[in-house]
Amino acid sequence: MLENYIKITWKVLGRNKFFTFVSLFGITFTIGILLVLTTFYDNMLGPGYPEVNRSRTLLLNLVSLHNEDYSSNRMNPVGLYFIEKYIKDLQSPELISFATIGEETTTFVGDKKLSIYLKHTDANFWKTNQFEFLEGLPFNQQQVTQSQQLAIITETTRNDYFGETASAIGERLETGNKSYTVIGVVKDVPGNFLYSYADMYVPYTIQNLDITTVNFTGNFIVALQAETRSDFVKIKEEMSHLVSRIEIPADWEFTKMDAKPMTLMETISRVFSRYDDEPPVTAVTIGLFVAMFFFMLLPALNLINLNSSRILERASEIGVRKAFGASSRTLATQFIIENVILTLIGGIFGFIFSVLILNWIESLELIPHLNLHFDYSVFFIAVALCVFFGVLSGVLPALRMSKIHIVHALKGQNL
Amino acid sequence: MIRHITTLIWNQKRKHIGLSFEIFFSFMVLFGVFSLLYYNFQWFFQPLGFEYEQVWNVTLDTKDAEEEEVNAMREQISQLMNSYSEVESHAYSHVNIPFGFGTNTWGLELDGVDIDADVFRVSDGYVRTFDMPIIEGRNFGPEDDGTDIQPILITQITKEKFFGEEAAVGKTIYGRGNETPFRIVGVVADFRYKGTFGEVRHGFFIRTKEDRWMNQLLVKTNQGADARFESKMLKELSMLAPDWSIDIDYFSDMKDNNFLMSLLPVLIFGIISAFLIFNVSLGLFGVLWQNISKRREEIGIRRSMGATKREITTQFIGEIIVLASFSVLFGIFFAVQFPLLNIFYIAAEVYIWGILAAIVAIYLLVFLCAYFPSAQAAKLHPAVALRDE
Repeated sequence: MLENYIKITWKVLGRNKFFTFVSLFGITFTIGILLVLTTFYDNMLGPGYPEVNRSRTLLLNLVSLHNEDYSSNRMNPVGLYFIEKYIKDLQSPELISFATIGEETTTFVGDKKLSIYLKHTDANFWKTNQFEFLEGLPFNQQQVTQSQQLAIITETTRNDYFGETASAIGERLETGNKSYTVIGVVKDVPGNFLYSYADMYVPYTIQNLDITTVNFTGNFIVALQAETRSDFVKIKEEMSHLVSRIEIPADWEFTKMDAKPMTLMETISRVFSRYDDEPPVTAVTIGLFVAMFFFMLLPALNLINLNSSRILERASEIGVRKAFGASSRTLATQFIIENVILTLIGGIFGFIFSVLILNWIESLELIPHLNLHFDYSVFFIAVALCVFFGVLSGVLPALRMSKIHIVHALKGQNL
Repeated sequence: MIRHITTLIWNQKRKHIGLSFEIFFSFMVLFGVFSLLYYNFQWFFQPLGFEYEQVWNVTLDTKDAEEEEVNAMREQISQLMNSYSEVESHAYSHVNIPFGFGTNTWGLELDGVDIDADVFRVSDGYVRTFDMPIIEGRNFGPEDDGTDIQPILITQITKEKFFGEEAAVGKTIYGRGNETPFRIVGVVADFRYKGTFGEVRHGFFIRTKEDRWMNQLLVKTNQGADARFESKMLKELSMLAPDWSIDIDYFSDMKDNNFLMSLLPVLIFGIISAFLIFNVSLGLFGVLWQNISKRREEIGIRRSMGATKREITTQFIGEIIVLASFSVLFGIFFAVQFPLLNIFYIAAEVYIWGILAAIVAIYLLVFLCAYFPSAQAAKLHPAVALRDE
């Protein structure tokens, strides 16, 4: 049966090359763009090197302070005082690590200027993130406590600073006019992993930050790794309980404080909410789907119109089949299946198209060391999109076709 | 003629509804694209109001230093800068520097006129460092020391808003709420600090000397400044302030980065829309070609009754134009909601140009898609067209 349909589809495709080209062009383009978007979404928000535990990690990016009527607000990354005094006592996370948002430092190799993006981290940073060490080891808790001037650098930084083949372990590296001993070299980190991305990592203790004065804001991001995703609720509850216990000094202009650990999707959705409201994740997700649907609508309408006017070509075929007893339903099914086969062919082209686009985006190097890869789930999404698109653009013409009266169809009249 | 065509379309309304929808959505897409293009490119050809090529941006991360310490350190840094022959001038500013991400606004008011303006807190050397054209009056400087009203510079557009053609120099203007008076000492050219695509906004520059947050050091260098000098400067700065983290980048790089970041969304949206519209026009062409070629009998009868080829073509194109007009009217109804409801807080002018450009584009598109099939059909010989097989 299916073999028959495929044969018929093939013949129909060959009948008018221009129409086939228009249909396939639309499908290829639409599926291609949607695949690029899903892959992007997947890579930006999903786990990957080195943040392999991303899907079970909550990030605390911002601490917000407000006065009574929200006319004065301050939102900043987390301060070290807050981390040392409060966050480290959290019981529900499996592991807690933290790092600064990072800073650009400048160094010179001979006459060449080199920018190094530097992050100050704790020892747990090397446990919550799974870095691939090409040489050496991470710094441990003891080395952090003793605030030793140690550094872990990425492969690119090593190659730029010490040269391609040289081993960097034990060498001195000077940047931002401070000198560090290199103890490890890791594989380059893609720039889309904001928490772990840097060119060089050093212990946070060498900054000599003041942790005795009450100060909740600073320049740290905290990662709270849960055992499983289901612990998120527990962590959030414990955190909000902790925040509610904090007493804000009476001489401050602020009276309210909030610090919400969030998933990445929540962090993004937060842009659309006001201050400390719950991030509208559902609304944003629905918004994304609506946007995708509208993007598909125009090519789908195009295909519907094209298909509707092409039925005329097949009037006599429909007439003959009806005369031999085929039901409207059989004919409609046949037409939809034909259309789905067409969209699947377009989907294959779309897949190739999206691979080319993704490679091109990587080569632009807008995001350093970006590595976009297809997931199995993206492949399934692609097939689902093709079927959805095929059915969407096939149903209307199929209904119209199946309603044609036998006599008219056989005569090949205006339908 | 139009009434006749409308009747013809109405008779086939079920067949035409799909086409109308497609044209309607294409109109909305084109409206979006043209509005976005106009919004981004309306300022493109205007001067920036400053020179940045030889200027370096030195970011001083002062960590948790106290205000007195920062102020004292700036004095020392200035002495160091003045000692370099490679440095022509230098200045300090808050974080809202050209091509940066920072924005700082404050209300200005005078005699009932009240505007939101960008406020730049800068040192005396700022105008010189960025080579900003002074249109009226003078730059502020040491001669303003000791005056009890803070001296400011305002930009051209702000001057016009408050004073029109009159001179602004010497006048007093107030920060929102009549709290803070400012004395205008000069008018500078419009300062498009958001970059190539940035709009002309109201702005004023406050002369600032003692301030905790003057942490951007702007250095205008001459030809002699190479990587070796940069390295030397960085080293000597770090020796002065060992606890701070200091970083240098060039405004020319920041400009390129800013240009790319502003262009990218326009480019992505533009390319996707161009493909969508190309796709639609191919489809439209196909559908019209199919529809027109099915009306051979009609063409044959009209031709034998004496209609010229031209009249046949006109009729088919007229039909699609009328059909498109319905969709466009429907589209305009939705499009005008954007300026009426003030969605995204963008000037109505942007949307109006967007609508006008979209109308022109849609008519051009349907005309081209209808012309070739119609011309083809009109060529049919009446005898051939009438022979019904």
